Amino acid sequence: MTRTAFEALVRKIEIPALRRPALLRLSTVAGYAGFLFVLLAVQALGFSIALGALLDTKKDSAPMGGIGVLILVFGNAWILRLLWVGLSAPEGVAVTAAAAPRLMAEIARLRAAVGARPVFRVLLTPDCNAGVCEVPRFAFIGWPKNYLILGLPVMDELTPDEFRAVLAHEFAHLSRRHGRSGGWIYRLRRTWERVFEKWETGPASRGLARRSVRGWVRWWWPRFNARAFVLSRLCEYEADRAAARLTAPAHVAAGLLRIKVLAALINGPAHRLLLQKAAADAVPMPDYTAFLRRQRVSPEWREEAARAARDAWLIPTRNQDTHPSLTDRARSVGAVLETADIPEPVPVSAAREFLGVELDRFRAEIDALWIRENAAFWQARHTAAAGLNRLADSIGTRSRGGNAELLWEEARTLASLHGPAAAVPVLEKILALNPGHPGANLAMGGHLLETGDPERGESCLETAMAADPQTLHAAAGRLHDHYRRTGQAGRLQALDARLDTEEATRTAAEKERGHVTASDKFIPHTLTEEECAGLRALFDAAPGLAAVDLGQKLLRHRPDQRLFVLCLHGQGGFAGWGGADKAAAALRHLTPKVRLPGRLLMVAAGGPLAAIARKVARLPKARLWSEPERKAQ
Amino acid sequence: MPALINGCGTRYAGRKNLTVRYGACKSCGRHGALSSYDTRLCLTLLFIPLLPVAGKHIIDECASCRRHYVMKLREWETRRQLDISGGLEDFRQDPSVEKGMAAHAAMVGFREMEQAETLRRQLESMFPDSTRLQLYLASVDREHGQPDRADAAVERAFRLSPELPETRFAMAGAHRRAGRLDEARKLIDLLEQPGAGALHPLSELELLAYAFQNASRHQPAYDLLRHLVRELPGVAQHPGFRKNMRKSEKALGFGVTAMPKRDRSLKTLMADKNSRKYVLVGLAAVLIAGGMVIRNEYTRRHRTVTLVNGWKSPVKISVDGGPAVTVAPGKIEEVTVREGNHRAEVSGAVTEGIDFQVETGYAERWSKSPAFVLNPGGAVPLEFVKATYSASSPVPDFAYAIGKRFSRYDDIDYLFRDLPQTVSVKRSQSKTLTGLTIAREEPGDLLAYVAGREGIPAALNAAETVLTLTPENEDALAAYRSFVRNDADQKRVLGFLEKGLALRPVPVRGFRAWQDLHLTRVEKEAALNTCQDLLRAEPENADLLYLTGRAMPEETEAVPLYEKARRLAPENPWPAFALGYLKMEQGRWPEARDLLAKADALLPGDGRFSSTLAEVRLGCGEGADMARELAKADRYDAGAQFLRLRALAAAGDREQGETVRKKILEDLTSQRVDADVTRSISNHWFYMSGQFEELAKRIRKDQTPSGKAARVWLDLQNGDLPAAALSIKAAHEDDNPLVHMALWVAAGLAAHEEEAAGNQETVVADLKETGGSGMKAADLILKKTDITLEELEDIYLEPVQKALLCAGLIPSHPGQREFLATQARLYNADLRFPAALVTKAIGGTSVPPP
Repeated sequence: MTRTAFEALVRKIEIPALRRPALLRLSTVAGYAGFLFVLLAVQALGFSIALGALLDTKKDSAPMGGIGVLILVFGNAWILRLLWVGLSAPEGVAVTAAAAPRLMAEIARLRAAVGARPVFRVLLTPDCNAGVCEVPRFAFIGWPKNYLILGLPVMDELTPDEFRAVLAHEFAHLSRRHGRSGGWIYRLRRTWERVFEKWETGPASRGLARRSVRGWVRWWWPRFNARAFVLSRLCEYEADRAAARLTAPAHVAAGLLRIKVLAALINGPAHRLLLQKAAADAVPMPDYTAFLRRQRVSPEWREEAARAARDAWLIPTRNQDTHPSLTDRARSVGAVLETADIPEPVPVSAAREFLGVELDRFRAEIDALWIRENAAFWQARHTAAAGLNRLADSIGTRSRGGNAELLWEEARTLASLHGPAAAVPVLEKILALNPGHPGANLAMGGHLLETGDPERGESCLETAMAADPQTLHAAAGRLHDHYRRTGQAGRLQALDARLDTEEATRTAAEKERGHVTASDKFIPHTLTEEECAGLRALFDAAPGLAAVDLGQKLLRHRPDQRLFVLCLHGQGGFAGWGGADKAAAALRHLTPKVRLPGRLLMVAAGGPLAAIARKVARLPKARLWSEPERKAQ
Repeated sequence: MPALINGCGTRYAGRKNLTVRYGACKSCGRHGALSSYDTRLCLTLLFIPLLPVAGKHIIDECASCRRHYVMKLREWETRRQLDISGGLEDFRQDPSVEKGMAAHAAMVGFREMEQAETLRRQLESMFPDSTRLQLYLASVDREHGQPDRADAAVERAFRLSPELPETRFAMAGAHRRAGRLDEARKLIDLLEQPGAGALHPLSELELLAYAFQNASRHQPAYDLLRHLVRELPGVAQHPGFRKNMRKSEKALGFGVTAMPKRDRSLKTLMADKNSRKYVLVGLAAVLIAGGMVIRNEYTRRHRTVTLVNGWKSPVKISVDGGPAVTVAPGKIEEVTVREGNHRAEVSGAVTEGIDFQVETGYAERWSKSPAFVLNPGGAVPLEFVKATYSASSPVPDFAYAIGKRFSRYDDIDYLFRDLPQTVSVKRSQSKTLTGLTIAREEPGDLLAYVAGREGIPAALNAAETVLTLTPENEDALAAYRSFVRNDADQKRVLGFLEKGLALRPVPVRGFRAWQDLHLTRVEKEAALNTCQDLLRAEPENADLLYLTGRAMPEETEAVPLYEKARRLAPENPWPAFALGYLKMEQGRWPEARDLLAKADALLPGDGRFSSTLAEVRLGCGEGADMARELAKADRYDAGAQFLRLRALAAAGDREQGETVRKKILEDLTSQRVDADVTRSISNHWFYMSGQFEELAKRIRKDQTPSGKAARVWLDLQNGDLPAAALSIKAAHEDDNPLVHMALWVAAGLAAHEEEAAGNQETVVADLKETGGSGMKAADLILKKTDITLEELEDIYLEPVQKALLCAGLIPSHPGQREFLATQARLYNADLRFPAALVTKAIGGTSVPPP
């Protein structure tokens, strides 16, 4: 299903779902039906064979019994494997009531107020996130253990009230109202996703049964996914409203904004700084949480935060994420916020408020955890950076001669080492040498979009996409990010539609240009007389050739490209005997010599593709060369 | 891949456009020549390609394992040209190194090596500073078995970009292959940095470690392998890697391995290519074994015992105190029990307790289908058949179980179902099936089987079981009587039969059998007394009147009793039969015929009545009618067909008789009837039709019982008394009173006075021993005066005996020759032996006129 079609399907489902969410929940749970059907089919088949063999007193029933048992064991194992969603228990610093009594008391109060199921464990992590994680004990069936995961950077960023709103939102996800079905649907969706990926990415199915299953999965998955998607989004809205009821709409909206800003800071400037530090130092940074707090109050980060806050209000709701946009969420809870407000660092953070005197101990543990999680990457980055530095020097010396390929390698190395901005001078050199260089245009376009030159950036990305179809998705991704960040919903939709069209056209064009059969439609060739003369010279020298016809396949997709069909007729003896062999010999002779401005299929008349030759010969002005004409000349 | 079975199937025929490259086979992994060519897939018969089915292009056919890829020739040709020309077109439009490499890869992929070489030169001249191009070319060269050229390309790439990780790895590989291991290690030192595994592939490091190992430099090898374990902990679970690391550890004298403990989970084992197949096979074996054990236990706990009922009313069977199962007469039910000892309580038609054991071997539970049959009172005779189906169709084996309460059979394919008539097997093979059914044979045959197989005591038991169920079964009674070997047996049989005397209605046949077991005069008198006592108690009982009459020593005393019985119970067949029999013995054929016909009508199906009636009808001269009637009889019924022959002989229809004889032989032979039976029928026919020369010819070398009997007939017929004496002895006919009489007649006919006198004494002694009419007949033989018709009629002997008696009296009463000849002819109605002798003695023809 294309993006546009999926978008339309979501819209179609969303409108009635807002009125009757229970019906949608019911229809989504029907996703189990497919698995249940397979499960029952395996049990029915295995048990009927095994029991039939057991109950039959005939001596030759033992092998059938064995087959029945094998079907049961391997069939069930296959189903289990199919349904297994690998959700391991999350890692973090466990918080107990003894260590953080205020936090645990607040959690208990909010849980009771929302009516949520109990939390198995509360974990602090170094991530910019807060959420509940259900780890099912029995695969997708359920009976989950609930983990409440709280990112310490989030707690540092939020005020106590905003943090309460976040907690209330998460507990709403665990509430009896939509917690259980929501979790189920989430796991079910993950399972179906796995099934879909397996069938989609696996080798082409040959058997009718496999092709049928594949077709069905392709049809079923996006439809189920759309319903699960809408349901998940409804859950988000419900959770926000529940949090607003328990705290205040303003706290909900402010908390969401602060988390978005923090995420932008961590993924942007923090990430770049950490990469640079990893390149410089062999040992990971010991105080990650302190680093974030220090940087948060720095003027550069404040500026970044202001930009991120502006972008956060612009980002529209899209179907790539079940979470609605900030604007929509704020609107749904009835919050009135000034979009010009820039979230400043808070004087008393939620972390200070709820973790109290134990905060420093928790920070130390979180820093240790962050080091454990990132040590390998840090070391690898440090190692690679040393090599990249040497490489950059080496390439830089040689690329001064103006070799575009060397320059491109230098640009890539510099970008890896210091970020895209460092590679810009080299990229400009490349584009001066080769304005259509796809890699350079892609990198330059992305950088320009980031740095506020969207017009030139878009132009570069368009050039990249036109020059190399391989860059289509990378370039589209950058454009997508830009349009999303700048709130250009219309252009986002247009981009999706363009991608759908492009993909469809590309697939169809590949297919069209990859095959030539006698059932294709052919048109007279479009070679110039000069090109034809060059060809005739080649044919004059070819042995055993009687005539040559030339035509073109009619291409519906990408008609700018050409596909020529050159038909060789051999000199036959009595009644044309031996003509096919001579044509085949001429084909082998001419194959490395004939070059035309497009794809070329050379066909020997009388050979395996003779039907094509006959069809081309019937085209007007198809005869390009013939032996009698040559003799006449 | 095409496949041939016995030279038939499909195969590739012909090779065109052959290209060969050297490389590793993707299937077997061996390095060798890989051929690609165009060919045709042909339908093949006896290794000769007959019909081309499709054009194919074979790709990389391994010289060792013959595995290859295959494409349709048209598709190959089209894709080859379009992909190559497409690649070149892209390169023409965008002459970048990427496009050039893509075009080159297309050419290499389609094995257009000439074009690829041209393009390679072009690319190298266009992009002399391209490191990626050189690395790509090196990989292509290595793939196509050109390592030197590949190393040269790597060196060029390294000169261009010595710091690029890829070139360093490639160059390290070249050094490694050349044995410059230290140089190689220096080049890839970045891979030895912590965290390198997250950025770069460490395959070159592993290969270098193995190269150090092969060069017996275990310390660097160990260092590299340890680094690999640190970077990629999962690699330590790979058996091959562990083996190599352990090798270096041992060489360095490390007692303890640095590798983590091996994860022996199923997942790890399955991940390992080598152990996967063993795991799968083991898993399958465990599953199959588990399934078989479950099945075995299930079988042990669920044994089926079949319940049969041969009684005339239902029986109820309760096994081990469980619910009673009612088995209707002639029906079959099943109960399921565990293997072990059990007890069944039977009530209803019979009340008894049966202890039985259901037990089989452990392995037999998988391989055999045993049958356990609970048979209350042993009332159902069981027939076990083991039939082998093959081209030669051997005779099946049969075994019977008569009177057994519980029977166990090891392996039954068809339980109470008929075996199939035919089974399809290959000519050289055979298939054996077993079946268990209710025996359909006559009780007499079954009892004879038991007697022969299990001995007389078992046969007596079986016979008593059968007679308890069917006291009037003539066949079983005859068999039961025949099992009496000594006084003890006789006492037992008499005791069993005596129990039946009190039954009402009187079991006439059993009573008769009981009477017939009283052989001596004293015994007979005792039997008569018993009968009279019973009759006194029930003077109006027709059966007892008949049986008392039968016990009377004088037939004249019996006749009033018979007549009274007939008056009292006209529907009782026995008095009519007795009276008819007496009339037959008097030669009053028409009267006998009427009485016997009446008896036969009252009790149809009794063999005794019908056979006597048939004999009487022959005496009445109804041979032709009988022959016509018997033409409709069952062609496979040997008795009926023999009677038909007798009737035809009596009617004098020799031509028809000969035709019928041949047909009978054909039919009976097709039914695999015993050859002695068919021979005997033929011998009788030749005797009855007077074809003595033909008979002599047939029995010349015949030493079968029928042949020996026929020899006696011929010797007596020919008057060869010394030969007859020998043949009688050979045929074990020494004690046969009829033969004695025939010998007496033959001696008289041959005018051997001494022998005739001696034989006469024997005959007289025989007749006196029978008492009653026998005594009168003996007196008649010794009488010197004329014999009257009344005297003859007063003697109640079988017609054949009376015929011989009359013929034998002619020499001593020459004056009454005509009278005696007439009487002899009257009784000589049945043309079997010794009818021809009698005819000869009275001076007639052997075949009576029609």
